[in-house]
This record gives sequence, structure tokens and C-alpha cells, in this order.
Amino acid sequence: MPSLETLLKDTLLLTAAPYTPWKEYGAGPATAETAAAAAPATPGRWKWSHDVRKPGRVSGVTYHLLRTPWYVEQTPTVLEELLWHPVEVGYRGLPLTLELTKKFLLRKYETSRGTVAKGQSAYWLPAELDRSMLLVFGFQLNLRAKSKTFSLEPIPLDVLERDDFMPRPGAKPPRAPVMKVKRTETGTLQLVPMRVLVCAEFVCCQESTDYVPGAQARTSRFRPHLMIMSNRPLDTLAAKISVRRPSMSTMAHEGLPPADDQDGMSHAMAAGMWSDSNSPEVAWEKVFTLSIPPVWSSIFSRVKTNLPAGAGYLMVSPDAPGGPGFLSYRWNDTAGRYGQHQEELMPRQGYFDNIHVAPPMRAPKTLRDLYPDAKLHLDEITMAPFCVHDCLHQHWRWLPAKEKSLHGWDEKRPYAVPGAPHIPLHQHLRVEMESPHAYAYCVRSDKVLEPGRWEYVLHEGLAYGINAGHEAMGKLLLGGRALLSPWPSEAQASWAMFYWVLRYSRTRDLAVERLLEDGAPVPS
Amino acid sequence: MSSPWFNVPFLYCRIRIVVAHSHQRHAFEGDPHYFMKHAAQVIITGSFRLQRHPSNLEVYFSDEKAVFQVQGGVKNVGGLVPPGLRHVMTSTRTFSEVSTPGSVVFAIDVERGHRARFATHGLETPFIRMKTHSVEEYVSSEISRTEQSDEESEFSLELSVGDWRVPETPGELRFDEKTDSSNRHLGCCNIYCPGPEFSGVLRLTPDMPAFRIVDDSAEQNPIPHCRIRVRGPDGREQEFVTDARGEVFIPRAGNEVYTLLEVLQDEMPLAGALPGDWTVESMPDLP
Repeated sequence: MPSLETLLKDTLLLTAAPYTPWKEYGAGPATAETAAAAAPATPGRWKWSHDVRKPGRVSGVTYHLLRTPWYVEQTPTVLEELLWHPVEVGYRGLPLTLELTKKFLLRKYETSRGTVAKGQSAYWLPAELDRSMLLVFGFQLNLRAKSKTFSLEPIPLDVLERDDFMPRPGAKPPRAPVMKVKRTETGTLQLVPMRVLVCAEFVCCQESTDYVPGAQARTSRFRPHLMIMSNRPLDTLAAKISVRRPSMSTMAHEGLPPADDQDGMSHAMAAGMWSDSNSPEVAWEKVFTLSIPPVWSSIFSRVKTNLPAGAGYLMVSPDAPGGPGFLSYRWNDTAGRYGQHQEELMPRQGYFDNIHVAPPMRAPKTLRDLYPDAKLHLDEITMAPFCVHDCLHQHWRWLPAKEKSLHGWDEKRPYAVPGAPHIPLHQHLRVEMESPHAYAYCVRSDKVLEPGRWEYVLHEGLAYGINAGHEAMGKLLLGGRALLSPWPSEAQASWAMFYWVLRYSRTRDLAVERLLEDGAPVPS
Repeated sequence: MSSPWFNVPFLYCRIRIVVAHSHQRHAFEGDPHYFMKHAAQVIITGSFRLQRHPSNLEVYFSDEKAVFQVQGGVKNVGGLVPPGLRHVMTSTRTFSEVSTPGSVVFAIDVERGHRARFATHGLETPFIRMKTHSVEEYVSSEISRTEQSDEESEFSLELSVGDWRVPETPGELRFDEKTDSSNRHLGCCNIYCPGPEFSGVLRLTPDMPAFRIVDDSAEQNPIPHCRIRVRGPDGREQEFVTDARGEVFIPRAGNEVYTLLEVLQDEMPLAGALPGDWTVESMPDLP
């Protein structure tokens, strides 16, 4: 039966950096704070602020971008803040709110380096860590609370070191001993309260190519997940994480300062959601060819851009059976009309597969001057796919891809089933827009959660777009250039216009959506 | 010179001292890759009966054959972990032992405003055996070596509290490290140890409790107002409620046996609590 020390080896941070020092908090006999967690020794690309007085919040998250052919060296803001809201659990019909406050904070680990080697873990992908932290919170029912009431208190520090701090998964509760005393004896019975351990990790990774199929784009992952474990069966669990980008992008594009008319971005953040097509004909290795550019109607099945505050969708659910699903409408250039297509869904697949929060791009000024008609949408061009310009990506499902890093969960672990959602089987995921540039990731489980087993929330993590491989870029631009032939030549060298043509078909002086937005009326 | 303490022939005492601390250092001695961690978690419990001895100067109680249960461990980890090398030494000292019999002294100077001293050493000092398991790990690109060794030794348990103000009326006594001067030495820690902190309680009662219900922390916080079901020597089942210190006193005589059948958990906050460790402390009969 494991102690805290043993359990924490399952976290991403301690998998990558097992000798990371920690700072101890919490009440108990060992109240003295141990040496401060090491300040990051190596300056990394990720920076952020965290104050243990408000431990459920990480703010001012930035990423240091090096110069590329498309932007100068700079440090844009990735997140204004990330919030871990209280975790709600149900225990014997009792609703318990686990506030991630300093009172319940037991430990904080912080490191600036670490490595998850290939094959080291079934739960964590190979990674090189940048600045990262792990927060450990502990809650228990206070057995000394007034009769008929309940309250939570921090887990005493000495309990954490015990080998039976948490049960092994599947273990039966120990049988009560025979408790007899004689006249000269005193018998002491210890009672073990219900306990919940919550680990909140904010792990930032160095850039890699494993976030998209075909390793064609470079991103830096960051993983602000929760890991929750109890020593008793929990009836229910609900967790919510808010991901909030700034309202305006701070990125300067194409070497020019923000807000300049020549800048290739519009700077006001916007969010869009997409579903990948499950069609085997749209394997992503086919995307990087000259003949099949990644137009939205071929690689996506559903899309919604410019999501307003209040929009919310059920993204993954164990109640979703899969099979014949929603209807999508794809533009057929040859026929000059939309064709209807019923998407075949994977089990548990819900409304959308991903969200991207990024500033739209703008067509070059010469083109906008030449084509001022707003119906062409040259002022606001959504980047997709492979957006690498100040784009926050989160995918909770990918199309059935060959890379294991893009596979979803089976009954036990992640990275197991192609095309399956990247969250545990019993979790329902709902994503709700808090503003046009912020959203809440809301998970709930109504299945009894087994004692001693980690429950992962937001295991899939997020990524920040950095760059694209030169080879990929060349192929993409070549593929897009053919579609941009009706446009003046400067369009063919423009990233913005490349994205435009993936989304729209130009029919006379109208922009026609290649894949009709979700809920939009179907043109007759 | 008078005090109600002079009328107390015996004190039933329960002592529980928790020594817990952890300490770590990184990047010291000029090397950013050097680290050291030290953690101790030791629980010392004892249940004994102090007998008053005639004295005109002070109220003097002692037990020369008190034994202590000492459980816990001390872990020291240190080494060098620069990129490409790991040289780590880990030593783990564990003990789950009954100490050798030793002296416990409790004396009250009633002239000085009932100032007391308490010591776990006097004529005899209790000793505790400990086992030390050491592992030295050296891993580099060229060498991978692990060596292990074991040894047995002992350490002395020397705790004392002096200038301890106690109430004029006999009753429960508590250590308060902040106000009572204490001197403690735990021979199982190492030179880097910043000094153990301890907390404890010395409960004096007219009799010994039959049952105690506590939580499973090292402090063993008592659970008051806890309903328990007990079967008596006549086979009859009876319900008792723990007092504020989580204890149940049952007048007992002869060779009667009482069985704790269950803790009633029909309502909060005890609903769902599981029974954990069960321990029995015994005390020799009065001479």
C-alpha cells in the first residue's frame, strides 16, 4: 500500500525529474517549512507567476519565441491566467467541495528541467521539461467535527509518509481486528477518515513535433492537469479548469509592430472549435501532398468560429454511442452547391474535438485595398489547420491517426485507441466559453471512482504553436498556391491567404465556406 | 507547605511524543548539483504509573521500570546529480521497538509556584535498538554500481521538561514547547538535523481507561462524543460515549474482559470512517 512519496512518482513532474525539491506546507507536527523549492536554475522559454496564497491560479504565462521567417524574436502572452476551480466530490451522498487553497496545500515542487524518456511511462509522453511545478493538496473529513456536521481539514503531514496512506486499487478494506482488553489494559482504536489527494501540475515542455499528425508542426506542450485519488469510493466527481487568454494578442507578425496596418494579424483574440473527419480517406499523411491541400471540407467535419461567451458543448461522453452522427455540408466546387454528409462518429465522441484560441490573420493590405468587400472576409482569417502564430491549441480527440501520441484512452490508460477521446472512459467533458478568448474545461464523472486509483482531469494537456517544418511549409504553400491562382500573385506568398483558401472557395467575388459552419442555414 | 498533589499516591500517565521534522538543502557547499534531505518521524508512546515517594521538599513521583514504544524512522539522502551522473547515498534508520526499562521522574516544587520537571532518564536511561540500511548508488555513462549494507546499533531516549508550570489541582498536564523549557536529544538524527520539534501530552487520571478512540495521525487526536458498542464479561452489550479526551472508563475488577465491538457510524462526522490500527497497552497490577 503506497505512501505519498510512492504515489507522487506517478505525476508527470516527478516522472521527469524525480529528485525535484519541494517546499512543505500544511498543518501537523512538521510545520517547519523545509528549504525553498529550487528556483529555476536554467532560464527556459516558459515563464509564469504563481503565488501560494492563491495556489489555484497561474498567471502571466508567456513563451519566448525565437525568430522565424514569419515573426521576430519575441515573448507573447500565452495565458492571462489559468484557474483550477474547487473539485467537487460526492461521498456517501455528501457533496464535498475541495478548495485548492493554501490551507490544504501540502507541498509545492518546482523544477526547470527533467526528461521523460521514450518508453519510460505509459501515462506520459516523452518530453523535455521547461519550467514546471506540482502542487499537492490533501483533504480529509474531520472526525472531531461536531456531531451531525462535517468539515474538511488538511491531511496531517505524518500520515503522508505511511505505507498505507492510500489503498492499492482493488484492495478490500482491512478486516476490523478483535478488540479485547483486560482490567490492566487500555485498548486504542484509530479511525481512518475519508481522504482525497489532489495534485495540480503545471508542466511546461520544450518544443516538439508530437502534437500534430505527421510531426509537421512544432509546438510546446503545457499540461495543467489534475490528478485526484481517494481512500474511499467516490460517488461523483466534477472539476473545472479555466483557460484564459488575453483579449488582444501581443504577438508582432512578419517583423512589424502590433496594430500596424501592415501587421498580418488582427490581434483581437477569437476562439474556434473543430471536429476532425473520421474518414479513412483523410489520413493526415495525405494532407502534405501537392494534390490534396488540407481544405476544411476534407479534414474537418464540423466547425464553429468566433465563439461568443456562453457558448458551451458536450465534447465527450460515455453516453455517446458513436456510429452515424451529425450532418455536415461540404461545398462542391464542380457542382456549385453544398453536399450533405453524415459523419460516422467514434464511441464517446461529442460535439467538437478541439478548441483553438488565436488572433485571426489579415490578408496583405494590397489585397484588402483591391477587394474591400467585407463578404470576402479578408480582414479576419481564421488559422486552421497547423496554426503557429500565437495559437493556443487543445485537442481532446484526434482523427484516427497512426501516431500513438494521438490515440485516446482505453479502460485503463491513455495513448491506446486511435480516434478515441483523450479523456478517461467514464468522464463527461463540457467546454464552455467564458468570453471570446477564455473557456472553462468542465469534467464530471457519475461512476463510482475506485479508491487508490488516480483520476486524471485534462490529461491531454494543451499546446502553444511555435513553428512548422520547412518541408511541410513548402508543401503546404505549394498546395495552397494552386488554389490561390484566381488571386493576384502576392496572395500566393501570404500565410493569411493560404489559410483563407483552406476555408473558402472563391466564387466570383463571394467567399463560400468549404465546410458550412455548425448551425448555419444551408443555402438552397 | 501543602498541595493536593501530596495526597495523590499514584499517577496514571499516558505520554505520547511526536518527533517530526524534515530538512533539505540544495546547491550547497558551492556545488549546484549537491543535495541533501533529512527527515525524521518518530513516535514515542508510554503508559506508566508513577508512585509518589515521601519527600518534604517536593512532590516526587517516579517509575524506575517504565518502557516506551518507539516507532518510526529517519531517512538521510544526499549526493551529487549533475547531468550524466548520479551518486546518491541513502541511509534509512528504522525502529519499532520497546525500549529497555528506564526511569521516569516527575517532581513538583510547590514552593516555587508548582514548577515541575519531567524526565525520561534518571537512574537508568532507556535505550532503543535501531537498524540502519544504507545504499550507495553510482551511475554514470561508464559505471553503474549499487552497494548496500546493514548495521544494528542503539540510541538513548533522553527527554526532559523543566520549569514546567502545572496547576495546583491534579489533572491533565500538557507539554507546551513554547513556554516550557525542554531539553531533548534524539541520538538517531544526524549532524545536519536542525533539532527535533516535539509535541506531547501527559494525561493523569484516577484510573486507566478501557478504550481510547483517536484518529490515525501521529498526534492521535482524540475523538470525543464517539459512541461505541462494548460487550462486557457477562456477554451483555452496552453503549458508551467517549469523553472529551476520546476515552471511555469502565469500572473493572478481576479478570474481566471487555470487547469493543464497533464504533457506531450512523451519522457524520464518523460515517464512513474505517477502523485502523488497534493497540493495547498494559500496566502491571499495583503491588
